[in-house]
Amino acid sequence: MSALARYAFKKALIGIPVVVLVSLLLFLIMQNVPGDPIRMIAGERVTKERIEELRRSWGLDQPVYIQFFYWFSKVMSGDFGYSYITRQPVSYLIWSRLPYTLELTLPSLVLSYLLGVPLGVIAALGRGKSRDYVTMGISNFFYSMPTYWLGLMLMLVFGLYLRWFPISGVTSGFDSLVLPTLTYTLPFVAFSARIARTEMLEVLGEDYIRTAWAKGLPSSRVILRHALRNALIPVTVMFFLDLPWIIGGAVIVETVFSWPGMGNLLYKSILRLDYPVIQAIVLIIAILIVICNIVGDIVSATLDPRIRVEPEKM
Amino acid sequence: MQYRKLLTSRSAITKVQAVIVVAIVAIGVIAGAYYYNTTAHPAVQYKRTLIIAIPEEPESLDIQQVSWSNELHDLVFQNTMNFDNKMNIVPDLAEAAEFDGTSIVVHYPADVKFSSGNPITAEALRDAMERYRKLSVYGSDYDSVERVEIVDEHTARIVLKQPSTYVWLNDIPVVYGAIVDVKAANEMGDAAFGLKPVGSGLFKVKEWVQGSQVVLERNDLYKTNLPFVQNKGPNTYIDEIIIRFIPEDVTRLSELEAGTVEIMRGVPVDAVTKLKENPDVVMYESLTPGIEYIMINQKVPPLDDARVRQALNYAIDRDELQLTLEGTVLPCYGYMSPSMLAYSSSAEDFAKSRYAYSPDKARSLLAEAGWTDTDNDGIVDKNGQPLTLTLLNPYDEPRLKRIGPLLQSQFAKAGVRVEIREYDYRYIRDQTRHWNFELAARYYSWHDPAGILPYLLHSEMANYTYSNPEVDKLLDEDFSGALAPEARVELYTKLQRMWLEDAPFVPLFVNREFTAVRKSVQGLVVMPPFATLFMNDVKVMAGTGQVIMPWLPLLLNVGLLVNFGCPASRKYDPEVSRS
Repeated sequence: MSALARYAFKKALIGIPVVVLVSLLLFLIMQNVPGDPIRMIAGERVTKERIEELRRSWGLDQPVYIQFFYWFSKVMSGDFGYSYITRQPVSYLIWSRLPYTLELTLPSLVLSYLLGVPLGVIAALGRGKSRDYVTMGISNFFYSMPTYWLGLMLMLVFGLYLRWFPISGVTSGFDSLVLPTLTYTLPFVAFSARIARTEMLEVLGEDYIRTAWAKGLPSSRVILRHALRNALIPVTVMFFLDLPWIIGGAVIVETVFSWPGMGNLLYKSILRLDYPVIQAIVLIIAILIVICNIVGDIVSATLDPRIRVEPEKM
Repeated sequence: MQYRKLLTSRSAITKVQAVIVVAIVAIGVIAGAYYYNTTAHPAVQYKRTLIIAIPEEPESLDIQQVSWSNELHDLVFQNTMNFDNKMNIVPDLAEAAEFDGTSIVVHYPADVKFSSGNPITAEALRDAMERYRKLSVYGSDYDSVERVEIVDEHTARIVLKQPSTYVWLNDIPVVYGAIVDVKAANEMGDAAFGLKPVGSGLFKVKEWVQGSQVVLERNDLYKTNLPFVQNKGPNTYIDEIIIRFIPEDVTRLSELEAGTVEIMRGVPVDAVTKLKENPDVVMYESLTPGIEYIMINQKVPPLDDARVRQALNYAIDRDELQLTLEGTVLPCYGYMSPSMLAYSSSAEDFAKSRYAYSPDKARSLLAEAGWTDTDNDGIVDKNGQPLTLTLLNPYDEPRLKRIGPLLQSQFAKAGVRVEIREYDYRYIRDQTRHWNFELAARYYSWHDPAGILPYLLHSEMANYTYSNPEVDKLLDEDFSGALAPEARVELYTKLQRMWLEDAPFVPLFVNREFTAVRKSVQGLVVMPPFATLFMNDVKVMAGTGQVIMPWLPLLLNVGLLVNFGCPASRKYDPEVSRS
């Protein structure tokens, strides 16, 4: 296990410059977007002098590298600064959205794999048969449906006509979660089902599966122990690669159902060029990607002894 | 197992059971009828919470920290003075205010308080104005203010540097100039005050769920002098107002139709007809105090030629625009809206006759400027180059977005090829400020021409491409002067005539803004120029907004029928009972 720990540590060390580089790059890109937040929000009745005054007070008249170092040194001490637009601390804006985002995206992610993987396995086992076509047909349907349309349809049918669930918002507890979660989950179910099916088919074609069948093992044993266990390794890695993005929220689902998530915050901040908020969210996602990659590596190494050997050679 | 046994029990039903069933059903029916009578047909029953859906969340709740105000600020803060439906300035928080050209005297009643309980005094007004000057993006509004004198505890005199109507018309009767509790702001800090500001409005902030909604609760210390509301104190019929932010049109509309929202702002253009036919909904209509127009860059050829700009004005069939927008706009030929001060209908009539739709006139003006269609492709050209212009069109302004292709075809009829690029409105505004455009579809919304037109058309105050020293002189006359209302009408009539000749814009239309309100809401007053909602006399009738069904007793009855009724009707079957 110590080899694994050393491997994780090495990966984390590489992760630090990656995160810094990502923030620097983003900072440079943002600076090259025409306009700046003050000019963007300044309505018609704001005088030129007032715009300059406000830019000075926010430090926007400073050279880019000074702005970056100022920002980065503050972030190092845990201070994300203030939003240019709402004038609220960025950490407050993020913390107030995070619970709602996780409430929506985390169950969706878990659910999509819990539903998708069995579906994919069923399809793979019945390859070329009707159940393959039915499961994959339905998967393809949900995968290709625009989220926007799917969300609106679910809302109109179950919210407006049947009145089973609230149309939008977050105030009805579990009830208000159902439709957005469904909208967010269904395309992902399709996605994970397709991956699970592909992986399963690949494994089922391997020599050792033929050997297992030839040994006369019961089919449940062949499928669950020999095939599925191996097919699940790439699926697990996919899961960990998806994990960091749940924090970014889902702009479309959130917009359709007026869900106060991170997706909306990020989208609006980009439109308004609210640098501090964008920087903070992207930084958090970058850090999470690095962490989840490491965790994903560790998990797959634990699951698959073949991978475990390699890090030591690195 | 138990359930199965019950279903297949040997005895069908005993007499005792039958009596119990009948009794319970009877009780259910009576309870249902009683429930229905008390809840669905109340004599006087009001819903204590009113829900309003608006499209966009404000940046901050503190009116001094925003670049645009919305319904929330109107409810949390109280204007010193206000506008009535004829755009007269009437008392609101102040019992009176006098303006003599160089100073404004504000009289507060002796016993008015902020929702925090702090007294509203002359000193509080001065502090609020100072904070606005420092904090707000519109802080330069008070550039013309020399000082604020405290005449006595409840009377303040705002002394101006020179005669000017600016503060009197642009701040005193508007929510941006509303008084905020600076004492509370200093205690809380500006960031916290932005989340839970203290004003003297009809309601106060209870909770802001970021990205979702703001819950307001009644301000029991509220007092007003508004002449057009009956109830001058707190509205005791409503405990809370919830303002929900619903950016998606279909969602907002569905919430209103379902009755889960009582008032909806930002009615989508294509829903207006549908909602007008809805018997449960009343539509309030008001004209925006401003116009939607195409701004022309005068610094780039061939648009530096006034004849080309005039040709563009002739090319637009504004009646067709109105038709396409399903009557949600009023065609506009001049530079001002009927909801603005100093508006003159005769100036608008003149503009209409000046630029009555005529593609032929457009073509002949273009020909004068040297642009003719030599290769018969329908597009005019000069030295072999066709006249091609790029129009920046905002995708986030639904009306302008919708008419983009129509404008394109109308310009084409006059021989001008227009290519459309869609961007965010704020980006377009920034591009026009940097003269980086040819044509840009834009809009403005402000009730006082002196508070907006100089920022668009004055060569020094504005940062746009138009410049005419004559116009500057006239604008200055009003901007730093105190003209009588009649003189202002005359001045802006003169100015509009000059603009019509110079043609820096192509005026298109004035928006009709709609507020969709459920029938259950009674006593709502919607006032120009900003379609402000006055909730002072509002009552929400319970029962009409939502369908209250006697569902509980009904369910009880159905449940009883299933549990007891079925075994009773089931025939005894020994085969089933054995297994």
